Amino acid sequence: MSDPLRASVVGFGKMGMLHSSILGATPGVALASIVEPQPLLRAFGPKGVGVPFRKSLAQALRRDRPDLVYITTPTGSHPALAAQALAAGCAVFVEKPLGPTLAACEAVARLAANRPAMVGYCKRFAPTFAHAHRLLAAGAIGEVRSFHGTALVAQVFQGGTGWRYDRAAGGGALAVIGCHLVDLLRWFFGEPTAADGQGTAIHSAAVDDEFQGSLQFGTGLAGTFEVSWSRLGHRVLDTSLAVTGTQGTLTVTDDLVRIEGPRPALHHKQALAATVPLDLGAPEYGLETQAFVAAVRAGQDPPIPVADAYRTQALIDRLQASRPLARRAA
Amino acid sequence: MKRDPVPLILGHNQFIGVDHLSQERARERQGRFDDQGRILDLLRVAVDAGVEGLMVSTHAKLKETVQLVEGDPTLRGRLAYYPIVPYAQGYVVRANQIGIPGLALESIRQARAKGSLRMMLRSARAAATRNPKHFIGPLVDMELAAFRGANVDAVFLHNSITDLLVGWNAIPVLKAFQDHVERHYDARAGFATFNFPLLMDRLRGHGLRRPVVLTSFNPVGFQMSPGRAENEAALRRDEADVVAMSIFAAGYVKPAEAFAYLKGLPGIRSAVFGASSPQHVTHSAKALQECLGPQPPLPRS
Repeated sequence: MSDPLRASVVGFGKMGMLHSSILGATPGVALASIVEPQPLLRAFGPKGVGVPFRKSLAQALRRDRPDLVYITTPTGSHPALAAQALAAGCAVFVEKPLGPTLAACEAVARLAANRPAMVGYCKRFAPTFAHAHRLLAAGAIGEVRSFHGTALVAQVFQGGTGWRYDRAAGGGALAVIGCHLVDLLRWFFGEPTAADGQGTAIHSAAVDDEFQGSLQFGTGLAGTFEVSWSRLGHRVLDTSLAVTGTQGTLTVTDDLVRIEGPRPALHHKQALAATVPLDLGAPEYGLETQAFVAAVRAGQDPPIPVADAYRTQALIDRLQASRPLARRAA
Repeated sequence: MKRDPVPLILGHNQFIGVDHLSQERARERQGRFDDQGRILDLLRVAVDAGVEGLMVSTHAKLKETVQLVEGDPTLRGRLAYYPIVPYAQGYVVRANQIGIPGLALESIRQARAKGSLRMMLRSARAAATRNPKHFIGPLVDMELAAFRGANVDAVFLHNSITDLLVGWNAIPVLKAFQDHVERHYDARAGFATFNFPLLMDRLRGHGLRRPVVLTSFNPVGFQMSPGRAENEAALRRDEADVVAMSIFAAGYVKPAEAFAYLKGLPGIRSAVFGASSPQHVTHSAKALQECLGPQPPLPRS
């Protein structure tokens, strides 16, 4: 048995808590430290988590010598922190998206080439979306012609403060919750040849609360998508995609995959279960860490390398740049 | 006198528009229980069918339900409550709005505003010691304020918090929860989890009294990490009083299959089940009474 990989988690917000807990239960990994600049969290954290809390990544790199660094801070700080950890020779996991803008990601993308660095587009590991990807690749509905995707949640109904409401820091519905859907569309269909979109501020002062987009692909495939963090009736983030092909329609949600057509099928998430050491949040979080750790141990490329996430970032940038932000009364 | 969980506990998800089979179905069914009167009607049917417990999250709507039940002569005293704290989704939404430090400060402020001197002293102690195990008391007090005077059998820590703490191996915090609930509420402390075997492995040797554990048992292994076989093996070790949940795997498993599976398991004497129609409540209650294990002869003290 080889020595455990030592992991430091940067950021102790919701995702930092989740990843540090999963790492604490992952065989072959030892949680070494948490990096958190907020004094309140640094005060309470060590006695709860049982590892040292450091003020800065530099301090953690020096004192804890991690093999793995998880970046779970607000989006704006992802590129610089990831670059710092890569420069120290660590394998790096960056929460999605890679950064606030494509320009901000260029340096880290160069540095991460051929290095063990992964971005946490966890929906690719969600059992239903992974199964839908396999079915489409196997031609379950023939040649795909069109799609419509949605990412909806009831979360923002008044103006907020902080990075989520600051476009330059990576805020807005498309960047914060819609990036999963944009990444899934790239994963399912490849690189689009044309992208257009319209963001609309409803409650927020300077970011999109809703975003409607369209994509075209060289194969003749075209589709639309809709993102909103202000949609009533969606208690939790609800991502779905309906794909029409020459031999049927495939619908995938967080709960199921349904095929309608000559070869109908229905697959619920309950039947697509995957084993994880700790089921926390959703199985995909454990699965992505399992895949990342296995890749690092094997010296292989991780499943979603930075170069891949960089192209998702490029598509988000294109969509955001297509039209000025519109405004609509609540 | 702290008693063991009652055999039949009605779940609450159907009352607040939660459906783990499909969010689409949840939206379709939302509205069915908008009227609190319909919730009370279903509870009357449940009580007549032998249900003695009601699982309740601290969702605002359910706090109101508790007040209505306590004021209803046909229901008062006939249902014991099994609160599950905290209302995790509410905290997630708020954390997205104001961040984790903001959320922590807001929670402390709310505890003070709601509070008794006792709650304020506990908050001050948490701040002074900088130990999260002292923070759990004020959090529980704040969440349970709506249940003052009601018959609470057990208080469960939500699976999102239990499992987070299990990953960190933060067992002293779980023990602090157990100590606080059992000392101050005359109720048993329970842990909801999707990771029953790991929870039990990590609790061992930390001096916790035999816990109540709310965990999934269904024939497809849904929410039974790391797998069905490991969960069944953990159950056979008989180190906890298990309340089975997700017995229908969120509506995926047919009732007859679910009941047959439970009947074959040793040691499950209590189950929580969801139902949204009188027929479903009556049928499930009858079937569960036949398949749950025998109750212990005397309540634990």
